[in-house]
Amino acid sequence: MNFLTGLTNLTSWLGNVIMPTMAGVLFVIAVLRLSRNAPAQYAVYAGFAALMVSGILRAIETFSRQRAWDDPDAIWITLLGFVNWSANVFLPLYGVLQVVAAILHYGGAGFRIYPGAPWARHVIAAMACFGLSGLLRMAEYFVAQGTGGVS
Amino acid sequence: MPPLLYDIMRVLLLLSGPAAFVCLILAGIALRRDGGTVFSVGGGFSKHMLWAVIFLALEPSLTWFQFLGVPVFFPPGSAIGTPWLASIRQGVTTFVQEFLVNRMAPILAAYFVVRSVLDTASGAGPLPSILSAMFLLAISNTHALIDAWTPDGDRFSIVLGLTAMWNYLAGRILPVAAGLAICGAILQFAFNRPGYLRLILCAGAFLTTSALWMLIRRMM
Repeated sequence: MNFLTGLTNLTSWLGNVIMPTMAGVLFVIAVLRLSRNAPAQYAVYAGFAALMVSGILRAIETFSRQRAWDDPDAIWITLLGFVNWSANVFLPLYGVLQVVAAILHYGGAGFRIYPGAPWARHVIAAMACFGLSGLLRMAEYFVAQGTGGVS
Repeated sequence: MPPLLYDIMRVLLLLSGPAAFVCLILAGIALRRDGGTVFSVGGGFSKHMLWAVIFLALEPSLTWFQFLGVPVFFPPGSAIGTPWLASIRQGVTTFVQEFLVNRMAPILAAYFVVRSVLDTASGAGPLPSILSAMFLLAISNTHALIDAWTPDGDRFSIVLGLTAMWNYLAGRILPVAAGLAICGAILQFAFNRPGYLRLILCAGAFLTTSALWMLIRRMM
């Protein structure tokens, strides 16, 4: 028995078995919170993150491997990579979401029909309750599609 | 020199291996006391690990006396001629190997697994106790690793062992721990607790520990 092997297996088990399972629980929490009109966004984000443990780790590894292991600039380059990725990859994608949200709001989804209205919220929560497995499969599909990177 | 004195020296040198095993068991217990996921430099865990290295590098370190001009009379060969001394050595080695390493350490690890459940019940995380349990289960392998890191015939054996241990920690253990840090960050975020960003930064730092060391050295 080897400590490193144990630690590696513990990390793999946690990241590849437990966290994806926890993603289901987090989506359930999100639906329940949505039905009670409580903030639910963080649970959805956490659910997606739980499906992407390996991807997040690989991303940080990629940021940290831009320089040799003994290069003192590796710290700065790692941070720079993270900042670059946040500004040049994440924000443009988030911007697309904002454009979609803006169009929806312009079309009246923001005030005539909006998810915060009690009847709409309960309808959405009911749909999510009946189709949570499908939602989880869809989230897994999106995560699996994302392994190739943004194109 | 009388053969009895040589035999006593042989017994003491041969018992340094079992003594290192005892140090590793104590280090495993001290690891949980120090925090499990952290350890204090100069605390119980680091002290026992240092002693494990010293015991495994004892014979080559004695050549310092030769280097300083003091004659050291190493016993020729490792066979103990005095029967009662040989039986003492055999008895102690068997006790450490069969009782402490093969039976007591796994039982201690099992108790740490119970402790991890109790830790969770009391609101703390289970990881510190789980890591301590893993350390205790792996002491035979850790002993062999440290033994390989402390070369015979080199009076710098202790520092070579400590250097290899640091390299192992920074190059092998910490990059794997980065994955655990990511899982921890997601759980912190999921349960709306502060500190998830700190854990993400820790994951980055775990992957760049060697570069951080070079950076600090370059700053000096």
